[in-house]
Amino acid sequence: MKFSLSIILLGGVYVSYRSDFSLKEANDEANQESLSANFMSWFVKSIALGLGGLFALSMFNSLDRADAAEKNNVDLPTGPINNHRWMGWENPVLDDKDGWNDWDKLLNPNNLPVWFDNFNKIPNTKPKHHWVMVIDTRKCVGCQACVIACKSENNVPLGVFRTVVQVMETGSMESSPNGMVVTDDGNYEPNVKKFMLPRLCNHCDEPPCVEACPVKATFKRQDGIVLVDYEKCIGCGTCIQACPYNMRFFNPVTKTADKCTLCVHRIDAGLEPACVTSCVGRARIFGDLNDPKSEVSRLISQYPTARLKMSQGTEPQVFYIDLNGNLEGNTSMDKVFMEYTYTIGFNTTAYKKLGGEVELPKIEEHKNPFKEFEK
Amino acid sequence: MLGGQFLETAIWGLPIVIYPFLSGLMAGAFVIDSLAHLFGFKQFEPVAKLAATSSFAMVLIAALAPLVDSLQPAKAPLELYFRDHFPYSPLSVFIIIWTLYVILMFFEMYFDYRVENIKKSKLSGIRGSIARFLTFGNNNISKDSLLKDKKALFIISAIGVPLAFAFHGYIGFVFGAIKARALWTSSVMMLMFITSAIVSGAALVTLLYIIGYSYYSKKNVVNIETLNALGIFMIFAISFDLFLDFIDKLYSFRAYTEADVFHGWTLVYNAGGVLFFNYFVVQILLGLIIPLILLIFKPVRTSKLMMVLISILIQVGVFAMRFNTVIGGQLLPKISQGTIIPEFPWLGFDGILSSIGLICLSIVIFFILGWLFGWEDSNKSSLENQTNSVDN
Repeated sequence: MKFSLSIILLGGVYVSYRSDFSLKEANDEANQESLSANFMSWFVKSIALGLGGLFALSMFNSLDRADAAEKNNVDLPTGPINNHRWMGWENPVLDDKDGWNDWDKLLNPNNLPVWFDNFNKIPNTKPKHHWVMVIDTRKCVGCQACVIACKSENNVPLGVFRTVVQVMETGSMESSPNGMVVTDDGNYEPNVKKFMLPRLCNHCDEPPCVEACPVKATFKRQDGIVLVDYEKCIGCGTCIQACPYNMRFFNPVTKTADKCTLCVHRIDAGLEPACVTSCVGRARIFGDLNDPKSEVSRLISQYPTARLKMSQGTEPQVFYIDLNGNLEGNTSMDKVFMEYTYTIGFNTTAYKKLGGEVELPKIEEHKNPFKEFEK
Repeated sequence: MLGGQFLETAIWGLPIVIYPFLSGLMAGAFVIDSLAHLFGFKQFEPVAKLAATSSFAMVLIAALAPLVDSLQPAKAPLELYFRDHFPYSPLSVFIIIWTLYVILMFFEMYFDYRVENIKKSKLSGIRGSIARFLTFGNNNISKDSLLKDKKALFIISAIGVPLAFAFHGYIGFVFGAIKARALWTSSVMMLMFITSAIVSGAALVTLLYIIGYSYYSKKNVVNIETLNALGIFMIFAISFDLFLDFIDKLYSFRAYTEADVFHGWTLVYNAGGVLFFNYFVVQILLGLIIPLILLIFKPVRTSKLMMVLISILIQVGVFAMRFNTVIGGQLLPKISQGTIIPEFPWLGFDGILSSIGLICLSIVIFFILGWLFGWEDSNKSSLENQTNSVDN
């Protein structure tokens, strides 16, 4: 179909080109010295040719891709040895075959209404659900299981995270005669406390990232989930700048902005997000705020909760029980990140000050890691 | 950039620094152009055409810079034009203003160089045929038509000055509207961008004027009055820019602003900060204060060498301002500690080479446009001769 269309188009362009030639000859015969008119016709012709050629090229390109996909369906062998791209220690190569390109089906299967602005009108439409998350920081032990679960569930590439758990230490070393830490200046005793702060996309009710997108690639669904349409995103990075929680990032594989989807594919299938199911202490609780009997509603009504950076006016929808407000900001002086977590940010000066060497681990692309085993 | 992203990185790299720099040159050059056409300053008439050509060259490349930095530039034109998020997103309004400005510049160039194109259309070869095309069949150079040209240029400048301000002001708004970045979100940001744009545009026109008319012009020489007027114009622009920088600094003290802004200034711009030298020495001292002090003296304003030096200093200072704003604003982390260490690779889409390439491309396009349309002021006497000869 596309092939024949492009042939017809090319033919049309060629015929118009020829007809212009005949016009020019007629002009010459009539001795009309309208050189500028001739030049104009040349100009129009060249533009028409260029546009036609571009269109035809794009047609052929899509044709090739379709052919390749058909071939892949028939020929490409599967299994760990042959399909080495999915073994986990290198970034997966996403293509049509993996089902990751049906974004319409994946992101919004029930065709819920979506909003790009005027989010205060969403409650007027009486949404069936309003998904929120409650994080009980008293129960978080900093095991990072949710981070791993998220990465394996959503195929998040190496080096980036959709959720992180910041492990922080507050307090200081105090000098005491019988302290365990012995230095030249005397003995010291640690008077410190650990605090874990799980972070994820807050799925704000007034998301600044959605309003900043120039191409309407990111949107808020009726049930409160903020999503990115990876087919429309141009990767300009404005939404990443606009997120006050730094929970958006560039996906190095899809080359678009990426973020937590609250495991939208699991929610639409009636399951809980991967980080919630994997939490060992049930620190993450997921549910529907519109249902007064749900666990999240009862928790929020029973316990005092706090949300991150309320001063930004974004109405975040992740509620924290027992949140240490001193630790949510970037410039609070009384927090120290634990060195062994990635959340310290390897490319910051703080890491250098703590004695860390700034050597970014390099991700090498192994084309076929099983090559040596095959022989 | 994509390789080393962990928790936080400076995700807008050097092309986004080039983007306000080039569009600032464009807006400033158009202001100089409008001083002659709209406000009727006779001293600026010799540089009006030069300013128009350089403005047109810069506007074509200015929109390329954010596309270079975006990860999917092939998708961008289609998505930006047909899925526009009009009321809220600064970048999407920018693309509308850019399109309007390019259309306006086509008209500006047509009326500016109509007479010269008619002159050139008598030549043979490709140059003649291009000039013939650019006249669009209008070969009239009677005095009435020249007056009509003047009137058209007046109207175009009257539309163009607000549009040029909107163009560059919107780039300030792209940064000023991001409330998550404490060092960007500011109501003065828009005004600071416009003012420094005018400063840099005047400096660019001065530089091109002196070099072009001294070495590459066959019929024109550098007019001292024009040079003096450009110098005086720069004094006012630099003073206003310094005033805005003072306001910005004033609102960075702990007593007058919120914690994030204060800590950001402490970590990035103030003494001991990462960009202290770049901000206070290069941007403020070298880029603004020293040129201002030098320009006060009339012998300096009328000296070609000193004006070239001052223009170069101002260009360096304004580039440092763009760098400090774009990169410096991203050095303050949102959730982690310390300051972020930015990476500037040599190769890659956001590398140093591609940024140099963007600037070089704008210069190349300026040369191409200068060849196509022209850049020199056609002398009035020669213009009159031309009209006479055609009438005869």
